[in-house]
Amino acid sequence: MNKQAVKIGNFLLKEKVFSSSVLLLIAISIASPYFLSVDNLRNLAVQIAVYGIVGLGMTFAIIGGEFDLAAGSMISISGVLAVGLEPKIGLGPALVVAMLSGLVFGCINGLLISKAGINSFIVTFGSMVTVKGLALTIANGRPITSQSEALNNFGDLRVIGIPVMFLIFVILLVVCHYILTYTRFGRNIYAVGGNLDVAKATGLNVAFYKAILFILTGLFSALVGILLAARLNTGSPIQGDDITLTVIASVVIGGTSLSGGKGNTARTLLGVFIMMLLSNSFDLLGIQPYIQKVIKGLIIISVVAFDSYNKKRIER
Amino acid sequence: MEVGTQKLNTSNLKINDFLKKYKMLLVFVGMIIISSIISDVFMTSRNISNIMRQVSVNGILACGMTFVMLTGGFDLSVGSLISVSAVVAIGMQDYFGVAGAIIIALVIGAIAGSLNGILLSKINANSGDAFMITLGSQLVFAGAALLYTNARVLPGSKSEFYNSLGQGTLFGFIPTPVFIFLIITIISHFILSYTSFGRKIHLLGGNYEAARLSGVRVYFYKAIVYSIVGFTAAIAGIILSSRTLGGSPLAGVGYELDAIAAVIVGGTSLAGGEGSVMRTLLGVFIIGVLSNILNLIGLSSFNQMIVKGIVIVLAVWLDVKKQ
Repeated sequence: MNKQAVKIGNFLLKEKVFSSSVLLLIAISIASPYFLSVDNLRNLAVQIAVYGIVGLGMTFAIIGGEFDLAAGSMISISGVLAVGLEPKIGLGPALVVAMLSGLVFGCINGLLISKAGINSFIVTFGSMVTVKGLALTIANGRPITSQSEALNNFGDLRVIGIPVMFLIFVILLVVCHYILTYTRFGRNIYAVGGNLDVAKATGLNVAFYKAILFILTGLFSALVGILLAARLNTGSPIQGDDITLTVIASVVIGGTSLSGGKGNTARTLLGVFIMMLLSNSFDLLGIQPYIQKVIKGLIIISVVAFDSYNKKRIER
Repeated sequence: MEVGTQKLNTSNLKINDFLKKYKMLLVFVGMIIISSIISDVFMTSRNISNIMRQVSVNGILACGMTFVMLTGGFDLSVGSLISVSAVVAIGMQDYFGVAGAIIIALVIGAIAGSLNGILLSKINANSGDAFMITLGSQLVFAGAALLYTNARVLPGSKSEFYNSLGQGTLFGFIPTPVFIFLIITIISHFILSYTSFGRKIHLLGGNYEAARLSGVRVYFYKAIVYSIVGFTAAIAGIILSSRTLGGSPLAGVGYELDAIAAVIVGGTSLAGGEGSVMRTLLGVFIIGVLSNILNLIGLSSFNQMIVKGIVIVLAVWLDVKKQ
């Protein structure tokens, strides 16, 4: 019994982000009675699902030593396509086109980075701008209202009281966890991100794995674009703008290192959870959005700084 | 570090060498030729002066960014610093006068930048850390600017001198912001190419361990470059608020990515060590001329984004092929 307690104590000390999210959870439950209401928890679950699904794609990318700045734009264009095309070609084909957009842009990014050898920051920055321009052109610069009952209903659908979007996230979480942990494909992604030269030397098809990373972020982003459109009954060409950097920050705060080769989906879940919990708590406590920005920034800075400082101290 | 022109036996190789080294310059010349063919207005003095005005803010920022990126670093917070400087320089004028407000804005820029720098050098940050930490300070500075004005746009300055910084003309022909841009380019180029300070920055980015072992105070240099980019961001913010006649807390949103893109398009490597202010200048003008010609042919701003993103990637692709 005592040993167990010591074990748990050590775990909480080591996993500071986890412990702080538990503390925050307790604090906000006391501070705001509304927090534990069903409505608010459902809301939180949907937020976690949206950022979490993009986060899963980004986890692959970051473990593989890359990150994708175009995710937000791909979310926007997928939502715009799904909602904009639905009246013309029907819901099914519109959703297929929306998902294909993520696949196509992901492939283009992946090929430019792995085959042409262009820096991934520039490629995904370029496609962030280009794809956003495309989304704005298609939508004519305005949000499009969804006319599909089926899509709108799907956004509010619940299974045993749980938003279906959250369930989708959980399923994807399990699948991604399995892929990363138990398959050769997953282990190779760690290898590519951990030490590119070694991965090359052992005969891995490095270009293939690098390209796959961006295809995955493309597909996950496209899916989120559709889910958001369903939830909000609109496809907006600027929907995804703020999501990309928040997601990258969440993944890193969870403990997946930006230098690649380390991390897992559980950490991403933790990072997304604490970031969304923070936003939710701030909103409930009525903290001004500008002050929220400052606090969020300070949290990102301190987590990354502590993490990096500790790592280097251990290395020495 | 500049590699001197190698003596090669055949002239054929020499031409190849030249093409490789000046590819981006050729791209730029090509753009100018094409632009003057498709638009009558492009080569007029009025339009050229327009282009110069438009690139000056990004150009000033990109000069500072060159210092940071030469050390292998990265700064996403400078867009927000532009906003801070814009609102402070305008807001403080009622209390401290124009000169006082400008000095305060510049000092805040340099100090805020050095806070990034000190932290990053304390934790011996790699480029991933720099990305995250300056992303964090981007939020902090943006929040600070919004808090300062309570999310309102401050009305423009009443001072004629201040307004001339962004809109005026010097010596009858050169726009004031362009003049400031030129001065900063020359100073940056001089520092990076002809002083031991500049050589150490190159060395630091090219080979960190070698720099450390040869006695370069790596912590100091790592910190000071962020202070420099903060200072240039403050200048950019002052000019921007003068040109747009108002201090907007969102003035600088997105400028950091434009500056980074200009530096990379110019050919300064993201890994650090290789690059120069002159290359950055080229990158700034390539992006500036591109925006201008897209405007002149009447492309909508949305379509401009499409073309701009593609061209930036293509330009870097051309540059990558030389290696």
